[in-house]
Amino acid sequence: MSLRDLDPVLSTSKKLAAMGVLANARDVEFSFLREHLELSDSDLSKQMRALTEVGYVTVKKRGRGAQRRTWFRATSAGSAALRSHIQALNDLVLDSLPPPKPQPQDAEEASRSK
Amino acid sequence: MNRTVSNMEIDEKVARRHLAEVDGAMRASVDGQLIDPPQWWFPAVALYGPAIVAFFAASSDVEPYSSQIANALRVVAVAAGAVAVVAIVHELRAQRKARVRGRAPIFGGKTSGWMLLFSLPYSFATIVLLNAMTLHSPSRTTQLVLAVGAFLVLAYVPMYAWRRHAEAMRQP
Repeated sequence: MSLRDLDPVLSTSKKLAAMGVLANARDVEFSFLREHLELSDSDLSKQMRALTEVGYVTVKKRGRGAQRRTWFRATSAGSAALRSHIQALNDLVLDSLPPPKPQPQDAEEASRSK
Repeated sequence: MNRTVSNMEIDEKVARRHLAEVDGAMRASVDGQLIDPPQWWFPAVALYGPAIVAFFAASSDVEPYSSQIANALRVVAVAAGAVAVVAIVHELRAQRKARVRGRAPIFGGKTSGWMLLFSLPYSFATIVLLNAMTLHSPSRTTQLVLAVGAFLVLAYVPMYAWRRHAEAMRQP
């Protein structure tokens, strides 16, 4: 796992958050995503279209008339991409941490070995 | 350390923010699931499987079932059937209302496979045990108490396992 695993599609926080919601559920309705991500209808449609085009999400419309709802589901490719991306982000955070200082006990052992 | 992805520089700060956001999104998804995963299914089936077999056995007038035990088994069979129906109706109604539909626990995790394998001999073993208890116990009252007690205890085991599994599957 390396920084190369950072997914360009998931590098925007809107798409990443959308995938985060979808990853833990079977199906998520449009209005739930809109409320959680605090996006307008058009912006959410745009984000979800981009995720659909790369095969990370599938869309289904169910119901008729006023009851018609749009449901999204993460594909296995989408879930795998999210996992890799999260791992890469974690690695990036870990790499930025300063190396641990040697403990006094370790220093003593090092001097003895000399 | 940082990296440019899609004309966007991701450094440690951005990575931390993204991780926090995705964590929040995953939690929202779990919290948004108005319904619990179908935790009742396995216990309902585990209860209902042996109960329905016992019901037919009790109805066939075959020894060693006393009429008292036969009646008790019929009651248990009907009660377990009612639990199964309530579980199914509850699940279907909740599924229709929910805006976030959770994954059924059976569709994930290694435990699912083991539990599926376990459930098949489980019903059979329950019947065998109940038969053995009714054959070898001294009185009919004892038979009845043992049979109902064993039935309830044996139903609790898969119920507990299933709940643990369902909880594990719901973790973000």
